Amino acid sequence: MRNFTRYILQVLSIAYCSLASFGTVAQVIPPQNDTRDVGVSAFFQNKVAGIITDAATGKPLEGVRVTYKNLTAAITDEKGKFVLAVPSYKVSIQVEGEGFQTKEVALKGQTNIATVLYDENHSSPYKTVNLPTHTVSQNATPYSVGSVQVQGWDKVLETPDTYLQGRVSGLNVTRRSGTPNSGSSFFLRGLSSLNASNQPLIVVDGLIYDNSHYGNSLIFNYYDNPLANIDIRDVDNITVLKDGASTIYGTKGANGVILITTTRAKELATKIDFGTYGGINFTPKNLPMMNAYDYRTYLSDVLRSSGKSADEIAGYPFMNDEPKFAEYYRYHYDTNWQKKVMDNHYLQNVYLKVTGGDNVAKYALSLNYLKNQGALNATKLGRYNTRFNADLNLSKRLTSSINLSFSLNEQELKNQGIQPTTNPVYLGLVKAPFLHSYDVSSDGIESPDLADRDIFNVSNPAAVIGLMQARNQNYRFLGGVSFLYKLSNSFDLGSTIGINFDKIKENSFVPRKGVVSDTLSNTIAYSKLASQTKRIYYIFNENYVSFRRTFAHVHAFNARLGMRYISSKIEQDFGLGYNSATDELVSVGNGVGALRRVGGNIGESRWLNSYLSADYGFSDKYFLAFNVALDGSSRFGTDVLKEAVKIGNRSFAVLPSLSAAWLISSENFMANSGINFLKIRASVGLSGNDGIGDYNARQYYVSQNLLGMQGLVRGNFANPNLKWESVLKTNVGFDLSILNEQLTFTIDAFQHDIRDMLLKEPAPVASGLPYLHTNSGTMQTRGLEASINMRILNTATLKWDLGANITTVRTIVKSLPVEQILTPFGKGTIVTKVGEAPNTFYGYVTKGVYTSDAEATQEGLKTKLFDGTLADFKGGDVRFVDLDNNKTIDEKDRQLIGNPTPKFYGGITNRVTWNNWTLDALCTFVAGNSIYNYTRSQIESLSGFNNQSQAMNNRWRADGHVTDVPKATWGDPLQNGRFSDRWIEDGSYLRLRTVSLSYSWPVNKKVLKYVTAYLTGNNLLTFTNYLGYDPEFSATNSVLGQGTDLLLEPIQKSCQLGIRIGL
Amino acid sequence: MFLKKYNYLFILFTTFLLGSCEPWDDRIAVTNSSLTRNAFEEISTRSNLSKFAELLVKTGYDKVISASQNFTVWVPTNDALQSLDAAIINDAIKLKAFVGNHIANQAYYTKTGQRVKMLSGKYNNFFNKQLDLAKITEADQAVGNGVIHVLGGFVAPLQSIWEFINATKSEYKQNDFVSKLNYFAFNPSTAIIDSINSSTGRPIYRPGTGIEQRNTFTDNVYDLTDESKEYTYIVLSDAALAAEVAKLNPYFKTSTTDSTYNQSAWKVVQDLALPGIYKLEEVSELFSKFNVRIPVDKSAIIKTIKLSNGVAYVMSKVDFKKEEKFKPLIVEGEEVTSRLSITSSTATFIRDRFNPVSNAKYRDIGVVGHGVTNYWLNYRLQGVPSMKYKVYWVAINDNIPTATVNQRLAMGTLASATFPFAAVPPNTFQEILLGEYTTTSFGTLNMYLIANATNSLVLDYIKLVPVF
Repeated sequence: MRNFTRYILQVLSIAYCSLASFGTVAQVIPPQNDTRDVGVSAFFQNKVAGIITDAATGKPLEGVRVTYKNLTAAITDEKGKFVLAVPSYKVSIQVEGEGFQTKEVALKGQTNIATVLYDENHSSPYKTVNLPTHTVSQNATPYSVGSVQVQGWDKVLETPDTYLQGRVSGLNVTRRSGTPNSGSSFFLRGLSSLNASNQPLIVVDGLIYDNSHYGNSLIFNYYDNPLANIDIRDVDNITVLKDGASTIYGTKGANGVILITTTRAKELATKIDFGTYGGINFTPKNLPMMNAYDYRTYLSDVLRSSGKSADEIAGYPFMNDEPKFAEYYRYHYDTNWQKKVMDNHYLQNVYLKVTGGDNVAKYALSLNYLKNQGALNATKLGRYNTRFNADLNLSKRLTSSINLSFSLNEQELKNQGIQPTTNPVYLGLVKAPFLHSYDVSSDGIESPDLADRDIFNVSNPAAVIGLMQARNQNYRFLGGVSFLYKLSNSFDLGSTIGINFDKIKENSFVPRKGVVSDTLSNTIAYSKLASQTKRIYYIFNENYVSFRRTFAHVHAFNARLGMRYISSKIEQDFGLGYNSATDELVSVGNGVGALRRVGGNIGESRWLNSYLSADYGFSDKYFLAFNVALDGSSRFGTDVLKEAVKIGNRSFAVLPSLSAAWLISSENFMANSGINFLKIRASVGLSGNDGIGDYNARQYYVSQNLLGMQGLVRGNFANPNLKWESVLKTNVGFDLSILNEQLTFTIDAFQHDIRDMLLKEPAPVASGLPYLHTNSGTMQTRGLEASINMRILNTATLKWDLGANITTVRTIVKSLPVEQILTPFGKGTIVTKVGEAPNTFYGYVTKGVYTSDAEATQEGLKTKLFDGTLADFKGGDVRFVDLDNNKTIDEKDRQLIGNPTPKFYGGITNRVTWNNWTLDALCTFVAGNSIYNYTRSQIESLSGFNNQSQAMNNRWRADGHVTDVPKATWGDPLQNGRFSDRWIEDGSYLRLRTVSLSYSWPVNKKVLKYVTAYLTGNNLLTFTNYLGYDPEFSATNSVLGQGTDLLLEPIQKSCQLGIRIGL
Repeated sequence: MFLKKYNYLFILFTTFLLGSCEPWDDRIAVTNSSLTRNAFEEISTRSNLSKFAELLVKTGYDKVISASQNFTVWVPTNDALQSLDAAIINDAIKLKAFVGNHIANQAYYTKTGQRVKMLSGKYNNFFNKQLDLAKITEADQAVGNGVIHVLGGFVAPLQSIWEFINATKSEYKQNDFVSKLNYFAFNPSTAIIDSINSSTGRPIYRPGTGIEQRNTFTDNVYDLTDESKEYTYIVLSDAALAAEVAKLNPYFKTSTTDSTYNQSAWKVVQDLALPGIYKLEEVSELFSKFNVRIPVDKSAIIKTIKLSNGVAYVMSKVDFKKEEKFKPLIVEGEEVTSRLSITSSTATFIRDRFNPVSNAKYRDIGVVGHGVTNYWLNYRLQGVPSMKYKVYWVAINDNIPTATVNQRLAMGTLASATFPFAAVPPNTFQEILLGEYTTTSFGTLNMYLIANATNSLVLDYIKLVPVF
């Protein structure tokens, strides 16, 4: 390995030296001014003539600019004709027109060309992609990238992450929940890590954007979403780097890179855009829960199975049907609790953008206010975004750009996930339907006081909605200043400095009224008060020198040598209090003194990345790109053994990548083929994942409480060999466009070899620590992604674009230090095993329900009860598969029962414009994934007082009853509800993700530039067999816990009506 | 025009929309159609159960079994109800009891047999696919709120044994006697508390509340009113009762004939009830609660009456052996009724010891150093039959310090010299026969353990063994 690194270093130094020598050569060539003067065309002897027509109408286009590099230019006449001087007939020329696409046309040896131009919305192989170092037309890059030109005016509810869903092949975006601002989990081309981060690096306007989550939220299963601080209308372009190109970000690039470019002023004229929107979030469709009638019958069954006699059961107040009975009214409602916790709610949004400037300075300023109430009652989001982008020409050689943004989110929330006493979604399902939200007198008069927890010790969902408080307030300031100094025509010096400051404040209060108490080690917590502050601070700096030059009109070089530095610091402080005197005292200081707890976390890390990026293009047909990064990080051990170089006493990662592409369609022999565009690409690159924790390589101590005394205990063993995870990415693909560019395909095949995975290896018991962090284990991801874009109809008034992308990907664990890793999650178990996909569900397989005792006896299976004794299965019990044939159902009978990672995912875009109307629709789909429906395992447990789904009316009743629903048994002693394929469901879905209809009024352009109205629907239709509220959710950020439906706020249908006015 | 051109797309899209099915729809569809109906609806849908359905409506039980609690309904078929007495149908109260006798709270399946409480308040046995004697023709038909079983017969509510006793007072002197063993007692749990006495802290009950009638037989023998259990009750014919009473009269000599009769009759009847159901035709003897042999002569069975909580046999003869009716009487030494009051420092020991002869633990009394001449302990026995007894004691003199134990037992009065003073030898654990004693009348017997001079006293127990 040492040899390898030495080799890399040699390559690096040679590359740098050759660049420098090119630089000297550059001085000798006569200055080539940036001129479009047609007169300069005399410089070249060869002339190319051509005609350019409108693809929609077939009419010649006048005023289209035709250029060769920045050297010669021509403008088409009224017949669409032009003549341009070119150095040879092997080159390509650029064509661009106002309102039309920008295109590169290869001459292919021809002296006369005819070409068509599509409108600027056309998805062509020539669209712009923003690479980390420069912006190019997609046809000239050897990388596998996905680029999205963002059109966000009709999608006010989207954040940049959710906007990407279904739009980029290879990128699987899963929204966390239906809570506004809750964001998404990204998985780009499958899984790339088990314990480190899987989230792609986000870069906004050249600044690395901190998209991580530090520490836990006080509000269960809530993640604040840093990307929500960027309003979608402020985004111009999003480019996703999928392959080895991400090497340039070194050990932060393993999961791919998402480059977000915000909008800047394009014109000098002052332009004002104003938008206002209103909408409604619809309450999710209720799950079919039992009504009071069915529930009480079910209760009778459960109580009977607990051994209660008929008289004892009849003695419960809820079984007494005598209206004179004092508690009759209290127990004779038929409440739909789901309606008590979720409802239709409203949203409103105002957005203003002003752009303009002069020759010296251009600016873009935007202001945004969003008030959005999700489906859960008493929750709401208030979001304020401001953004100021400016471009300054400070001198002839020095330009600068400034990006400042400040955003504030204020959100009222509720606990979600496995919080049986405080999660309103859960309580709305399981609460006994015969109860009422309010206290009820013996005469049936309802009090305005909310009812307390009930006879079954279940919290009152209405009290959780009405009295519980959970508030998150966060703001982010991100400022960046970039300078670019033009040393010469070929050399630039650049520098960027960015500062990010986040503050996240949370308060929560769980009241005593209506909520079941919590038992702590030394007390009963009747009420809980908590407060937390997180501060995240980081500085980013990048300095580089870049070189750009074309030699002899065929050798195009573009290179950059730079260095990035991040210093990040986070601090989390929390205080917990319990048992304030009354529910009116909600702030943390009111807790009982003896029960107060404070704690926190600190994290600091530094990252230094030096990189070289060198692109070479020959004759606009052959492209080669080489990137290499040399990375150091405070997270790594000091003595990394492989793929590292030592500088001083530190270990640095060396990560190279090489990409190549051949634009076959520009070859002369393709001149008369029907293929408009064909490029084949191949790349191989090594990138790293530094998401291994700030201090896992080090030895540290943590505080420990022992009988009221505080002390320190060792928290970790130092591992100086701990390194980044490495991902070797290989990609081959091609881009093809035919039928006059009406049909464009892209297909990529990729393989990721992940090695040195960070694993928690079980430590020896004597060590006193449960595990060690080591780099062990390998994994491989293979996949195929394809996208297609079609312009089906293309007339002057009617245009129809249809696009689709699909990705299939499979990740296999290749090696682990242990045979398998079992992780409990929810009430299930997740296994990672060699030869299988990581994080698959591991449980029992069932074959229906025994119809009778005789049938169960015949099979003769037993299982261990909670007290350790063996018991026989009986009629009405679930028939588990006895894998090892030992007649006992035990943990050895578990097997893989589902994989939460989808086999296929993708999206379908559809855009129809007809005169002033535009219909834009996006469908997203995932297929072949399994979901662990934890929610259903709770509402179909048949084991207690929780309300059950209506399907449980089919529960087994008596011998001979053929059904697939087991009997109701108190406490479920035979564990019919254990983690089995009963709770695993197909998570495939096809969703009409967004559909929007817009209409632009023909207006007097002197008064108004435009007036456009938008009617947008989100998530209006979902086709799925999944039995939860919604098949899309992501309970955690890690790969563990994906595909487990943990009772989060479901994704909702919503509709908005908006209007945009341009002044 | 535009629409025409693309209407096939529109149709496709609409089909796509309408074709979408809700995943829950299939799942919540109840597969067993009877589970969608409650018990009454299920009965109503079956034509062969229409008569019972009518009766349910007539009695209002249709509403009860439509409620969302679980019920079991044993439904007699129309054919079975043919033989139902019109008198029941026409009497609202009887009909309600009849219908209620086929309905129980909670779902009972044939799998686990048990005695089930019906809404009529009666219990029926539900074993072996039978409700009482009626055979189930269609078992375990689960419905939305419980289960129904179709019966080939019906189960009319029967009298309980206690109801039978009261109903046949005039017929059988025994039942007349038993039914008159009533008395009134105060039950604080049913009494209403008006206030609390401020000085004593005790509750002051509202006058007239908390008084309830009880019966010596149900209190002391078996509670024949209890429907949840089953009993066998033997009624002696008047002649047989007279014979048995006559047999016992000599042992209950009192001042009046009536009271002698009452005592003798009580002594007879208390051995005539048994828990559980016995087929007297198949047994030769049984043992009563008081461990008295009940000789059974099946030829003496006059009548067998099936009742809701058991069975009653009318018998012309049950020849109890008087020797077995009277068991030895044992008086524990430590259970002193009264004693001579003394002023000096006396130590009365109640001791827990082990008896190596009987291999049992025992508790006895010792009075040491009382310093009173002829110090005595009194034992009073109530309801002692008038007869001759052999009198034994167990007095264990096991090293009481410096004690000479010398004592005698005086029967009847303190002065009675039935048994002389005797020294109690150390460590004697056996019963010592003192002699015989005959009581002259039924009632109270006083016995005194008297110390010889100031000697110590010791006594484990006194035993009176009847001599016939």
